[in-house]
Amino acid sequence: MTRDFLITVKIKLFAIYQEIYQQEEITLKISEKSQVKDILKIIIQEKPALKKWENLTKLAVNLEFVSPDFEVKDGDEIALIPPVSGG
Amino acid sequence: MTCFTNFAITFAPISIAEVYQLADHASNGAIVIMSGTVRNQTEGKPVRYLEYQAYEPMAINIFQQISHQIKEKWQDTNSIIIHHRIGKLIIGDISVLVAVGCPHRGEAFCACQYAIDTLKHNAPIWKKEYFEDGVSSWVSIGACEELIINSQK
Repeated sequence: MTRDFLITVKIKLFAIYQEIYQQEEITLKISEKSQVKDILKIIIQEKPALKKWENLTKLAVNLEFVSPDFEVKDGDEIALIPPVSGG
Repeated sequence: MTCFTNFAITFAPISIAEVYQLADHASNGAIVIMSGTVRNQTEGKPVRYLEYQAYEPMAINIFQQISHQIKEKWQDTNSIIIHHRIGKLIIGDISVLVAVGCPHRGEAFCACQYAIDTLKHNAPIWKKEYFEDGVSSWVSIGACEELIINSQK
């Protein structure tokens, strides 16, 4: 029998994500060996209004851009980065 | 050769005099400063003000990476200063200042343009436009470019 271990990650929310959630960050418990794209899927399922941003959102873990299949670890800080517009 | 760098993200107004002073160096023959300012309209729609937001620690990391890339491309660069403002900005306010000091103007112009272009594409900073008609929306330059690229495929 395999047991599903859970890890805790912090999700930083910005721009449209922050507006929809009305929060700057949330904490999620997810199964270990989850990929960062799985987290984005959970977020979109929770808030379907964000669906149109899904394919435009880049992902960062611990302040670095990562590919969608990056495996997250317990305690990681994940950021959802919708299209940027600094300058 | 060492290159002086200084990065900041701040709610307080940013100062041309300050970034100039920080970029000043005896080996410079030129300092190029890029000042980004809040425009009064977007595609003809009057803008009232902008609200900027940043993922500060990551944005500072991106500024650092931009500086590393500049030092590789233009090795004589003496100074790279990037200050970005966040919070509510009104028409005419300065949102970003990039100053690059080099021995010659050619590399200073190129490096400064590289810095602001890369910042606009990569730095996790967002602005929301509040229009005169009460509508507001998050600006997504990157998304527009991606849509244009996709439609050209």
